[in-house]
Amino acid sequence: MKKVKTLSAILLTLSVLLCSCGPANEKYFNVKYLFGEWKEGTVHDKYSEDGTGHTWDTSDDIEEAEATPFEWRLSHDTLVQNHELWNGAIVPKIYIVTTLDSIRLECYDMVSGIEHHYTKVDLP
Amino acid sequence: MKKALKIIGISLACLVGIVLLAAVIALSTVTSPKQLTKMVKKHAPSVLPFDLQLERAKLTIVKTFPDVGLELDRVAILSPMEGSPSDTLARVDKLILSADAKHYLKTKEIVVNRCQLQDSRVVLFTDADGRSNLDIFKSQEEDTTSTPFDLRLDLQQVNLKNTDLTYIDRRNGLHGEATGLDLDLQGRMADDDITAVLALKAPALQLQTGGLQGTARQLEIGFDGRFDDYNRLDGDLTLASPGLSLVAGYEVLHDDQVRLSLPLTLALDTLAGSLHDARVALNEMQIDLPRGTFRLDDPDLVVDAAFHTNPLDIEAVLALLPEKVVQSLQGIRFTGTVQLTDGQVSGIVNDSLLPVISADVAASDAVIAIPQLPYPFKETELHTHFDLDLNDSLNARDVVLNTTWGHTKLQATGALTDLARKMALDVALDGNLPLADLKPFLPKDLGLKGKADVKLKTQGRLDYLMAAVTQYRFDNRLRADARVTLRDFAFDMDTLHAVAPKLNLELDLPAARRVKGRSGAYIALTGETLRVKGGNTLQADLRTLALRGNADRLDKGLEALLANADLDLAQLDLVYDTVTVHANRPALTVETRPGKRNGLHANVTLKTEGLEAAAGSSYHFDAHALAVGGTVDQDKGKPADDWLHHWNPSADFVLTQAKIRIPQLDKTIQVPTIDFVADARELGFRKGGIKLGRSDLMLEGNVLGIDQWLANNAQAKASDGQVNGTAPHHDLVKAELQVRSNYLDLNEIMDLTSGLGTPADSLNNQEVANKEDNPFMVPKGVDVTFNIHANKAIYRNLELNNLGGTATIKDGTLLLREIGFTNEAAEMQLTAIYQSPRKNHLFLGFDFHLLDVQIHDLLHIIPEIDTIVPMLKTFDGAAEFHIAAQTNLKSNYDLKMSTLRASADIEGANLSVRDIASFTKITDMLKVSTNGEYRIDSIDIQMTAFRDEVDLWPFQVSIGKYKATLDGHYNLNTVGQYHISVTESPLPTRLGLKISGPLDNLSYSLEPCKYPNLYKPARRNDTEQLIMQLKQQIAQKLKENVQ
Repeated sequence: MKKVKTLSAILLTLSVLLCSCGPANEKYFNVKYLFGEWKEGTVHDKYSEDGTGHTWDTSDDIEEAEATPFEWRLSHDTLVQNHELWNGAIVPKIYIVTTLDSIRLECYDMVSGIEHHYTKVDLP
Repeated sequence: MKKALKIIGISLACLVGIVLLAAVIALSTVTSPKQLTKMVKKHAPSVLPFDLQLERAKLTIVKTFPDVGLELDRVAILSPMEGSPSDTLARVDKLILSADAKHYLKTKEIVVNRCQLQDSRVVLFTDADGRSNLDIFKSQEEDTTSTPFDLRLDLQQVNLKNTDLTYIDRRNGLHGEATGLDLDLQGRMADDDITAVLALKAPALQLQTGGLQGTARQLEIGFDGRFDDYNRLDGDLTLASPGLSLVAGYEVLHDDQVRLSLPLTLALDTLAGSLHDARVALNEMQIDLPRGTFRLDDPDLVVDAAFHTNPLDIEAVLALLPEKVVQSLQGIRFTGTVQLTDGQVSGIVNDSLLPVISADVAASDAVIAIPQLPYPFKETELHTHFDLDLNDSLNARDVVLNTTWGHTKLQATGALTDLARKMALDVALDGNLPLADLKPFLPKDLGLKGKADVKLKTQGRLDYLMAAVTQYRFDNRLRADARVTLRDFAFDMDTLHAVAPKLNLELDLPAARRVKGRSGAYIALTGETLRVKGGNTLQADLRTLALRGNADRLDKGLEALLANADLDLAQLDLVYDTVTVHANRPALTVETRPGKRNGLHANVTLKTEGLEAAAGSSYHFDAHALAVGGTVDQDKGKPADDWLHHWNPSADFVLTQAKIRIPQLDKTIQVPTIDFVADARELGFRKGGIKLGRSDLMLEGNVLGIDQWLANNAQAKASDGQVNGTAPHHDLVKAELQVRSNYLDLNEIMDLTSGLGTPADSLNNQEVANKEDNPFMVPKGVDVTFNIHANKAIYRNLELNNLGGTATIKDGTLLLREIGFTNEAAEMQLTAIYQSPRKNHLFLGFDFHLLDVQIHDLLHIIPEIDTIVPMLKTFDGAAEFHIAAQTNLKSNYDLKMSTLRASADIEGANLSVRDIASFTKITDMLKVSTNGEYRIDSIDIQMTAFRDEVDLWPFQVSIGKYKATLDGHYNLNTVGQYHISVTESPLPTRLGLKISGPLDNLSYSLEPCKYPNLYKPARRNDTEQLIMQLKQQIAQKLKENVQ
């Protein structure tokens, strides 16, 4: 009986460990909420309906006209920003969206786990 | 004169006729006046050929005692002529004739010895054909030869009182009027000889003939002498008038006091005479004529006389000169006194000619004012001998002049010829000239000080000399040698000042006398020192100055200037603000001439044997030699404000063995040789090389379109009020330059140039850009390409071979394109871009590829990789590295972190483990067995940087039977966090390891496996599929740029 309990505990542990490598549950968000300008501190992100966007940080003495462009797509809860460099190289960023409505955009960086909390600038 | 004598002779003959008539009457024993009058009237027509009217005749003894006289009252002699103002030749109120009674009684001969006329009116008229109202006496003269009386005329006294005389000679155009004339003539007539003393007084006299018109007041004429054979006059003639006026084309005399004392002889037949010890006085002027001859050769009077004067007022003398002589003086005014001695008057006097006058002249305390000169010549003492041809010219020789001009004492010797027209000079002049006296010749804002010792020799005309002095117009017929020593020289103009203790100036005209083939004026200026200051910032010291050159056609504008100038200095020291320049033996040559485009063409060369320059105490430049050869070609068709195309400068600069030191560089920049040419449109580097430390660079190529770029800038400045560097694209400055090097030590260059161009205070400034920051702003409107090739370059410890590529600056973008090189560690390729849209928003991007590089070399080449992927230093072996990045920069070159984007790809296989301790710790925790082999089969890493975050995208590592997937995240401002998932293992467990914390103190802990199926395509979820797609795109995009 003791062996059975021990084996059961090991299996349970392994199952927990193995199961922890599985995908998390996905959510769906209305992409229309994303269109427009969002702000987190001095960082501004602006999403256009054509899949383009641009970002700028006013603390770096940058205005929207000098913003850095990117392309984006939202699939389920996965928001991908693709930043193309001057020579064609790309820097993708993957964010997992946790909240998206007309005033809030909350997500975290899939790699670093860093959370971001944006508020809508151009409220309807 | 002949005419006058003839008239006198005829008049005398007429008197003889009257005397004869009187004698007849007397001899007829007439006793009463009535009877006597009847007798005269009765017998006169038979005796006289003209009508004689008289009122009364009577004999008188009282009035003529002891002689017997015949007194006739109101006598009129009629001689009507057409055109004559009167039909009466003479009308006399009282005429008294005297005869010696005793002589008559003894010899029966009537001798008339005295004649008196009172209150007479005489009209002498000659018509245009030469007929005179005196012709009535001709027949009488002939008839007297047949008279029965024995009559002889021996007049010893003739008196006229209050006679009015009118004399009209229309044939000769002569008209004379005398009123109140008194004449007292005493003498003796024996045969044809007359001894006479004449005293004539005329209160008013007018005489006019041709262009000559004269009047006299209170005229007194006297003669004491003989008149022999009715021909030869010998005696003293005097004439005096307090108011004599004479107009001969111009007003020669105006109511002037005249006194003449003329001891003379005169022959009437030849009308020739002589003078001795005569004196002519006009007002205060007195002319003594010790001897002289004259001859009247109608219409000429030929004179030859010696004379001398008392001291004469110069203005009074000049007032007597003919108008054309005065005009020839060209407005020159004279005052003072002049005395003429040893003079001579020779020549002809008539309506159009005047004689030649020569004399020794001594002028004292004279003032000569020449209109073209600002100051008169004062205190003038002049000794000379002049020859004045009143018809032509005035010459002066043996001139010795001492005078004061302004504050200048001048001494001059020489000769002046043809003063009436050419005013030719042959003068040697010595003077000590205060330069301040030249101020009237100079521009108003130009000042000169000092003194000039002037020695001048000149030959030529005064107008040439004045043209040279006042208009800088040089005539080759003017010869001049000037040697001037300037002492304590000072020049001031606006903010420009020049001083020199001593300068020597030589001026020669014409220049060809000094340099064959040159024209205009030759000028040589030498001096030991000359200091020039411009405001408070510029100072130049010139030592052993030697300027030699010539200039011509200065009066015709700059474009016509013909000039050559050679400036040689032993040494030039120049200070401009904090900049100092020292040049040894600089030599400048300038040659100008009219160009082909109606403007000035100039050739300029500059050479110096040694050149040093410094800016403050930090910047220093020296060169063994500098040579510049250039031209300026003025195009008057282009506006002057478009100076580049207006002047079209072109120059060839050759700099040899130069050294440049700047504070930002520890090393000296050495320039063995730079040879470049520049003109309005092109800058061409024929040969240019520098050495910086151990590195060398050679530059060749051309830059085009500078002129248009400058014009656009000027236009932009004019329109915007500022230079923004913008220019239309079609006006780009284009250049393609070859940059070659045998050896480049990039470490040294980077160390030397670190912070170059960045203000020191901004290097430590961690805050937002300062206004003082001065980042490199890429010029717009230029298209410059540098083709770079270095045989060998050293970067860190890497030896780079065949470093090559292009660097272009085009319209605001600096692009390093495909800079490739090889070394033992790798083949490398770099492309970089730099833009400067505004000072505090710069842009930098690069694309760098290392092919077949050893990892430890990679970490050595780019140490920053170790910061991003710290575990990379754990391995070693061949790898391939690609990285691209971009960011905006602040004006102090600090990163604008929000704009940082970078992606990198590292691929390797069969890597060895170098950090066995860390490797063992990780494998032990993950229960990975290495069996004592510390190798990694392969890695394939993609990294991206976004803002201040670096993501290490999940990648797989193979270690024998084990496979693990790693990812990581590193915040540039905080700490790193990494994860390792064991995805393949002989063991059933799939452990995960979390490594986190500061890189130098990482902590390790187990955690769930994060990527169990990432490298198992069949089991990937959507997120893992996305990750793998992005990883592939990152790598693919990076590699696309590999050439």
